[in-house]
Amino acid sequence: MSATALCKKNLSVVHPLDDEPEVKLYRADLGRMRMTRPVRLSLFLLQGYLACMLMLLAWRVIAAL
Amino acid sequence: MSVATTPSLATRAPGNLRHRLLRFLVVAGPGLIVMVADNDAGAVSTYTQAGAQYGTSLLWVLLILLPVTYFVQEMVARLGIATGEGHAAMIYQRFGVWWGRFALIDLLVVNGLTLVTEFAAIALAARHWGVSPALVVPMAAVGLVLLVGTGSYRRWERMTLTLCGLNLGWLVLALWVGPHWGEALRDTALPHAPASGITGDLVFLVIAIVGTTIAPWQLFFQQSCVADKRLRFADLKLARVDTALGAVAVVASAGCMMLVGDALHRSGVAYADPAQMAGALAPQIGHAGGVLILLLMVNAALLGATAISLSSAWAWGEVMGWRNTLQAKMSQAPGFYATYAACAAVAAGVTLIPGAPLQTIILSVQVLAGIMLPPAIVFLQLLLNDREMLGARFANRPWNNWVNWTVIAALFALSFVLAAQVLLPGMFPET
Repeated sequence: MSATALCKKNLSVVHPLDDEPEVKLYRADLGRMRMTRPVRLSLFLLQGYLACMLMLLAWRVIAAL
Repeated sequence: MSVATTPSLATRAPGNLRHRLLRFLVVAGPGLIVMVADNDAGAVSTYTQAGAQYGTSLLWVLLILLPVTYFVQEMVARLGIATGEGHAAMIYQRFGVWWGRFALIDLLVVNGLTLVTEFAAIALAARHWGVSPALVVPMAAVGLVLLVGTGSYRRWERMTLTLCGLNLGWLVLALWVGPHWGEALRDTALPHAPASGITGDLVFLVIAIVGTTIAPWQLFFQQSCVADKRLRFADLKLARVDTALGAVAVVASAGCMMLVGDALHRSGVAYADPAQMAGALAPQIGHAGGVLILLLMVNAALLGATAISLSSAWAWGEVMGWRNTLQAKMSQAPGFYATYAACAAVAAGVTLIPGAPLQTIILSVQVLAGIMLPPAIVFLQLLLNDREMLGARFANRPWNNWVNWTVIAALFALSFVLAAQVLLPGMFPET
């Protein structure tokens, strides 16, 4: 590529859909997230929260009957 | 995905103002759309009701939500740019099938109910104009399918941004009703309870405002949209600007909606819904103003409907491993487009069922969205701390984590207040 052509190319703004695809950071071989203590604790608290909300829903259904 | 052999051209663009502006214009879209579409029909109803019941005294809530909505959506944009994958795919891949299914089903249920409210708003406007909803609602559903089915992401984005631009009509309306600017500015800057005190209605309305301003579908939508647009690492700064502009736009138009509701408050007329409000404000803004309110509500419903249906279609497509891009023609991504069309068709159909419990559905959406938002943000927060995947460049910094855990704690607290209110209805005094 000549210097002029390269310069012209560099001055242009390329839409992401017209650009060359990038190598992204996610790879399928990464698998599941490492279960560190903060991750385990967060998921455990989330399960507790969801259980509370389910019980609340059950309460509302029973109360409505 | 193929491997780039040269750095992205975006990284080599020179830094003068014209180039920066052009680069912003090609990157902008996902952030603005997700934010403006967030002011959907339910939001129009919630914000105008807040104004009609409490005047301008809840404007400060919006000011607090401005940075919150930006921080949450910035994380989504960052994750989308770094991974090139949608949110549903990330939860499936990194947390396993159980959590993946939970997040997906939760999204589809809340989205389905929210979509019904969008079509209910279109039906409400149609009835107000004396047109049969049985004609207008299916037409809207077909229009929504045509909007995405052009086989070009750019065409969809341009059309959707045009709809977003129409949202400026709320600013016109807010100026038209002649708000008390001094009072509005004071109420924006100084957090305080309305004169009626803290009541059950007020607590529910504040939770509804939070649930309306930050909704679970937004997380899925923006990440998939960023991935579909193939934003590059070098686009991150501009994607942040796009998101920040969107956050300002959504909060500003929400404030304008409250100011329009405040006009009803000052006139002393009780609020029923946006269509009734449009009629009741006729002495101040005339028939044309009333028509504008309804048109803006329909526009909000259409914007919300396309964004919500897309978030469902993208998420479902990611999990099923289908081709799911707006760049594909309908014949090239049948599953993706069929999911989108099915979302619109089912919601439109439910709206047209005679005697459908629309009020219960609208209430359920606000409650469910409020309950399901904290788990969605917890996944986001954990993914953004996944240094194994994101590395130091894209993972959260300590200050990000402080801000986000504070937001998460506040959202959980609001969810528990909502739950307590359901369990103990007399906890807060009635109005």
